[in-house]
Amino acid sequence: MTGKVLRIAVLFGVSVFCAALLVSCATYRQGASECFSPPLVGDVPVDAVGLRSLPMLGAQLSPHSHAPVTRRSYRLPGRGRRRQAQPEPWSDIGMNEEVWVIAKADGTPAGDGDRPTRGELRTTVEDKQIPIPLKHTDVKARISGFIASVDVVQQYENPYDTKIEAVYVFPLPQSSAVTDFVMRIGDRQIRGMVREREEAKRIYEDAKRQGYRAALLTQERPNVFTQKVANIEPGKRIDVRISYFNPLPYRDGEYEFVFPMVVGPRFNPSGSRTGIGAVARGQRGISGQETEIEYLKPGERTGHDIAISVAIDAGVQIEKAYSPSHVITGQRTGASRLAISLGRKDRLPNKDFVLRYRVAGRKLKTAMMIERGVRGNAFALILQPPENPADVPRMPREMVFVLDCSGSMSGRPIAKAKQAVKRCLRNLDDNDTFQVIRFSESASSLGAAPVPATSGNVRRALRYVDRLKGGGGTMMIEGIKAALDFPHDERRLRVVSFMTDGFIGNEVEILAAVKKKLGSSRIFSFGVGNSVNRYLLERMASFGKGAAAFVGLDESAGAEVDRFYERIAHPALADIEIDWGGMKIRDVYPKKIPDVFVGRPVMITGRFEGRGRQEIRVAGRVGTERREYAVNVDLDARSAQHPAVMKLWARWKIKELCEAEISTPAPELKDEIIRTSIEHNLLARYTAFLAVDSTEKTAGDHGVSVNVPVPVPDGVRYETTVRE
Amino acid sequence: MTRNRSAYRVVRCWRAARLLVACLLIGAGARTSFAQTSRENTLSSAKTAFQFRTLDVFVHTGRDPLAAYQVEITYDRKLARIVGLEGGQPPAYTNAPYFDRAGFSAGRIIVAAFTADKDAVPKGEFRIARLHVAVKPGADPAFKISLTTAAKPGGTRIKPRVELRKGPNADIPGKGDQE
Repeated sequence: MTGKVLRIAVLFGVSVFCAALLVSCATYRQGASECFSPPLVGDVPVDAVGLRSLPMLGAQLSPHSHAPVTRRSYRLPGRGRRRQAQPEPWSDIGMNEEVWVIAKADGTPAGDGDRPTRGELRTTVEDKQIPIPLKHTDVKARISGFIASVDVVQQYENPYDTKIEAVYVFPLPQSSAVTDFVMRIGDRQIRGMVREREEAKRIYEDAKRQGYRAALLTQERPNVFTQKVANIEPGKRIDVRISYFNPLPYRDGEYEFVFPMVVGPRFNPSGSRTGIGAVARGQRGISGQETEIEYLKPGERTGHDIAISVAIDAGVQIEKAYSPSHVITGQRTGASRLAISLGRKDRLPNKDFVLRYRVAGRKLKTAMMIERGVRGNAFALILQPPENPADVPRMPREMVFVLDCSGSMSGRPIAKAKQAVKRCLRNLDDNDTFQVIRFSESASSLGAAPVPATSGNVRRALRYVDRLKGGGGTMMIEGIKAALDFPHDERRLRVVSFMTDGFIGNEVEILAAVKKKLGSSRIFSFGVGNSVNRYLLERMASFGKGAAAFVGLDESAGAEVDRFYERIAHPALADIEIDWGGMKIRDVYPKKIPDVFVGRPVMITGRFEGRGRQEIRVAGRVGTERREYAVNVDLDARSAQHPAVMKLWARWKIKELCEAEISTPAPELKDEIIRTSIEHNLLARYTAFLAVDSTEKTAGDHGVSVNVPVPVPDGVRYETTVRE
Repeated sequence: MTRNRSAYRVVRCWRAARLLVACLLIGAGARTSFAQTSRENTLSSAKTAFQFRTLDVFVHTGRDPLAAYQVEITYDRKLARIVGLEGGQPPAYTNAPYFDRAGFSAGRIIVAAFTADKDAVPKGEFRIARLHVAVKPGADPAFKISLTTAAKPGGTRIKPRVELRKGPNADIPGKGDQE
């Protein structure tokens, strides 16, 4: 009897041990995927071409400049020789343009041996092209007034000998309104439709399983999307065209057009499953996150390249256009028109394309655009603050600088962020107090509380900042707690400045924390890097009644810091109220009009009824003073008409509903988001664009799923950010 | 004592072997039941999977050239979903037409297109658009079409006949659109 009991006990014990072993193995894999690799102290980051990153010079287009062709040379690491960069073909360049060129080496073409067989992706071969199903991305933007209409064509081609499903996670601007989706197979075009996300996914999976060609576009974040294309046969091509509208931000005297090219590797805190995982090529599934991006290893590159062309019709004379990020070429097609394209040798999709242009007239005026339709009218009002609000006494400030010291900031990004913080510290006023906080896995600060900005304290802070290094995960929540939790000095305006790349996967958690802990603080976020998470930084600043600014790794941090001080030196126009005069207004977004800073107008959208000339009165508080001014609009002026205004209104509405969900999730909000999205054929988080070609079943089953691997963003270290 | 010890070892080995066999049997059982479950899932998903069809929109304009059209298509939304909209045969209408979203969620879609190329305006009988449809299993939903408006170059209204026809049979692999 005892023996039997013993045997049962032993059997039970062994079973428990086996189960525990299995569980621990699984847990280890999950746990390992939740954090970045330990930071490595290494060399200057090397881009995917295998070249050292070059200090980038922007291209300048000026009506008064002539055309000097600048040739630059670069050094190939480890080869000890210089190559002369080749100039662009100049045939289409006018005399009034000045073009800067930085050339990069051509990629090595893939050999036949790089075609994988079923179910595998070929292993890495150093300095060789990796065959992937995304061949080319073509971006065509037309800018009219302050709205960009952009068509993005992704060309998928199957380089393997088996049928595949291509999966590509890619970024778009966070304020983009995706309005159209067309799948192209040969000469045939199939326009996709917006459907509820779960239903669209189900139909897509059914179509894929049955062998139909299909494409599905989903939104993972307002600036991160997933494209799936099913049943691409060997050697065959399917194109997908995505169209979106994007209101251009007007920042400090310039319009800015941004096309992001790669999603940066995000950090996901332990326990998170809804984040965006960053894994090495071929390591799909190890992050345990809903969305996952495979990154190319250093030295690997794909044949995927990108072409961008931007046609600007500003309506007024364009004084200047330049790109701080890329080599561009341009052609004037009129005083107010400009055609810009990305330089042919700068087409590696590893950083945001940024194009800025300045128009004639020193100040942007408050202006309104409208769209009249069969289902009603919509307007978009660009609101500028009144001039010269600087005569209001300046309130002493409590400046809190929060520096992201995580692994993704390691190297050039943290150097740039430190440069910015140090300049901020040197600019402090004697009456101000300040604090410096660093965070990665945890947060720590210069002192227990803010200290007066005496020269001794500033020197101590400069030494503290100098010692900071990048490494570890991005527990931004710790930085937020450290920055917003300590007691507020009522005599001072607390200004919290985050300096980060925003590479985290738990944006909702962070934004909810900001909303909860904000109090009377204002947040000014600085995005540091070449592919930062603009959505997070913009939203943090928006919730924090501040503004966001972005500093590329090849831009001067000093200039941006100076503009930051200019902004906070002038009080914002706050508590804004608008008397719409004879216009009948409804459904205005944002519901609460944000404070308006000098050089940072805000956009207000809504539905309206009315005609003719109207006077709108804008009132607000500047410091302790009340200000009021009039804006005259002509609702019948042809120049005010724009066909994208209704979509912009719908996009704003969806954005507000999504932000309301962050603090109070409710089924009614979700239903309203879906309804608005489907009614306006506009992509949102709960909907998806779906297109199925049901004319023909492809032979065989649906083949294998292949993720499109992407390079880590320029300036970001693979070793400290990507899980292998 | 030594014999007792060796006998004890044999018993232990025997117990270990039995334990191993038991584990393997449990594992195999679990595997079999998993395989059965996944087979059942596949079968059940095949039973509930959407079926895909095409519907062609034809117009008969007679001698009138067609520069613009707008048609309305209604269907039972409980049984079908429109999952793609494709252009037609004539070069002027090969681009995917546009549609109106307003009635979309209620099982109604308004499809429209126009051509500005006067030389390429088609006339006679031709396919002007194709709908790609996902149908719930076993369902045979009815689609109805009506002409909203149509015009010749210059804007003169015409009244062509419109009809819906079954498109290429998608159920046979490789037997697609033969046009």
